[in-house]
Amino acid sequence: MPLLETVRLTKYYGSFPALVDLNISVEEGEIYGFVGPNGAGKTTSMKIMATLMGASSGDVLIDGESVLQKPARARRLIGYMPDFFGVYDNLKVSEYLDFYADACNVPKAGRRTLADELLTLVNLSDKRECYVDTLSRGMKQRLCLARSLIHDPRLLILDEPASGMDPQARAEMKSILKALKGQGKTILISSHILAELSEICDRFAIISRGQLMAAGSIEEISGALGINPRLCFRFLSETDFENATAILRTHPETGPLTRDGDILEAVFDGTDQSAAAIIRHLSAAGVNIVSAYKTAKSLEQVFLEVVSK
Amino acid sequence: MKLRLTNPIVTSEMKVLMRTWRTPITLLVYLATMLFFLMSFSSLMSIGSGRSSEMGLLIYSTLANVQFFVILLIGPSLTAGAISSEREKQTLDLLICTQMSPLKIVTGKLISSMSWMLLLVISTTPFYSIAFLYGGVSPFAVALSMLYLMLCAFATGAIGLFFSTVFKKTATSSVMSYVVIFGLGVGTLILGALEMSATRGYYFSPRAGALRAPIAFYFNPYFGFTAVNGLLVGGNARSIIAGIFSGVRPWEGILFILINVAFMLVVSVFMLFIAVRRLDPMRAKGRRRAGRANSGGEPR
Repeated sequence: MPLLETVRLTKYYGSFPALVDLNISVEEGEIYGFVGPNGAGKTTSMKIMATLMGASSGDVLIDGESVLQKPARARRLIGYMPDFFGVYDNLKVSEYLDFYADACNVPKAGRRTLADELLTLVNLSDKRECYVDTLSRGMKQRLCLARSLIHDPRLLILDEPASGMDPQARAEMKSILKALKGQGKTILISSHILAELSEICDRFAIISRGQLMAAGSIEEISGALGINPRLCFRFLSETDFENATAILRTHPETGPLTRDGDILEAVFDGTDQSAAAIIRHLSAAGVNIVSAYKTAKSLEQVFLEVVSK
Repeated sequence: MKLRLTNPIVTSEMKVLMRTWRTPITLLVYLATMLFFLMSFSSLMSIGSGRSSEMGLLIYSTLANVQFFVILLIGPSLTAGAISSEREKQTLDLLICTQMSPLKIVTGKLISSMSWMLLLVISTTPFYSIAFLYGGVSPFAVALSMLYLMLCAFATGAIGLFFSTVFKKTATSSVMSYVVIFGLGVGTLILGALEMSATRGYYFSPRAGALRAPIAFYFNPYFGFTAVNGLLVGGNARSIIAGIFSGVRPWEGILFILINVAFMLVVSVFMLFIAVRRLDPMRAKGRRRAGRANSGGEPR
C-alpha cells in the first residue's frame, strides 16, 4: 500500500480547474519529485495533502486513510514545509523548535534532545541560542525543515524547499534530504531546479494545467513517451560530420539522427559494448571524433517534452 | 491520553511579551495615566466634601470608569491582529499544520490577550486599596466590578478575534472591531435615546413604578457596568450615569445586569465559534461535502 495516494483529486477555484483528476502514489521510503510549470497545481495539491485546503472532489489517502475525513490523523503523519513561510522573529532558534514541539504534543522531557538532533541534522547547532531574525534565508529554510520534522513524521511534503538558496545552501539541502531518506522518511518534493531534483528523486510526477502528464522514473517516462537514450558525437570538421551521418543512418543499431549545433545525436538503445563498437567503426572509416557519449534524457528534457505535448 | 492544560501559544506569547522593554513601559504609562486621573478627579471632587466614605467611592468610581474605557480601547487592538497577523507573516499555515485544533489556537490567542488585560487590571489593585482606606466600598464590590471588566475584555477580545479570522489584513480587522464596539457603546445609546424621545415615558425613575429602560440600553456595555457599580456596589457609586439606577428595586437591577451579561456572553461565544470554524480549513461547506462524497458517506 502506498504511503501517499491521491485519488482523482480535483480542485476548482471558482470555475477555474486548478487540479483535475490527479492520481499519484508515493511508496514508503522513496523521494518523489513533483514537477510542473508555474501554476500547474503543485502547491494546491500539496496544500490539500497537508490538510490546509479542501478538495472539490477526489481524495488524498495517507497510509490508507482519507486526509479530508481525518485531518488530525494526517497532521500527525505529515511534516509540511510551504514554499513561502514566515518565522517568529522574536523567538530564539531553540524556543522556535520548542514551540512547535509543544504544538505537536511532543513530550517535554525529550524536546531538548530532539531539538539538538534536528539542529545537528540541518547544520544549525551553533545557532541554537540565536534569535530567528538573525538567520539568513537559507538557514531559515533549514530551520523550517527541522520544524517540519519535530514530531517525527513519516511523510515530508516539501514545496520548493531550496527556492532562493545559493548553490552551497542547495547542496546542503540536498545532502540533508538524502540523510532523511536514509532514515526511512518518505519525501514528496517540488522544485524548479530539475537537475538537482533528478539526482535525489526515485520517481517523478509531471503535471501541467492541473493534470498529470506523466509519472514514474525518468527511464519509465522516457520509455512511455518513446524518448530513447542517445549517442552524441562531436567531430573535428563538417566533412567528418557528414561522413558520420552517412554511416550512422544505415547502421542497424542507431535510430533517427538529429543535429544540435555541432553535436550529432543518434537514437540508441544498445549496450555500452555496442556503443564502443560504433565509435570504433566510425574511427576505422576515417571520421575524426572529438568526443562521444551515451546519454539518457535528462529530467529537464523529459519535462520540456512532456509539457510541450 | 494525558490531559494537557497548557497552551503553546499562551506560553510562547507570554514569554515574548515579558522579555521586551515595551511591556514594563506600557504598564508604567498606564499606571501613571490612572494616577493622573485619580488625583485630578479627587482634588476636583473633594472640594466641599468632607466625608471620607464619599472620597472612597469617588476614588473607586474613577478607577473603575477609566479602566472600563481603557479595556474597550485596547481589547480589540490586542486580538484584531491575532490571526490576521499570522496570515500576514505567513505563519498561519504552519500553525494549522500542528496538532493544535482551531479551538486551541483561538483560545490560546484569546487567553494571551486577556492575560495582558488582566495584568493591567490587577496592576491597579494598590490604587483600589486607597479607596478601601477611605471606606465606602468593599473588596467584594471591587471584585464584582473587576469581574465585569474581565467580561468586557473577553467580549472585546472575541470581537477582535472574529474579525481577525474574517479579514486578511490586520488594519481592516482592527477598524471593523472598533466599528462594532462603537456601535455597541454609542449606537445603542442613540437608539435608546430615540426610543425615550419617541415614547415620552418615564425611564429610570421611581415614578415609573418599575425599572423601565429602553431596550437598546440592555445591550450597552457601559450601562451594564454602571448597573453593576450603581446597584451591587452600594447604590450611589459615582459614574457618568450611575444615578439612573437609583431608586429601582434590586431585583430589577439584577435582571438588567443578567440580560446585559447574557447578551455579551452569547455574542462573544458566537463570535468565537465562527472564528474557530473559519480557522479550520476542512470545515468549509464545499470541502466537507467533497470529503463525504468520496468516503461514500451521506451528508448529514
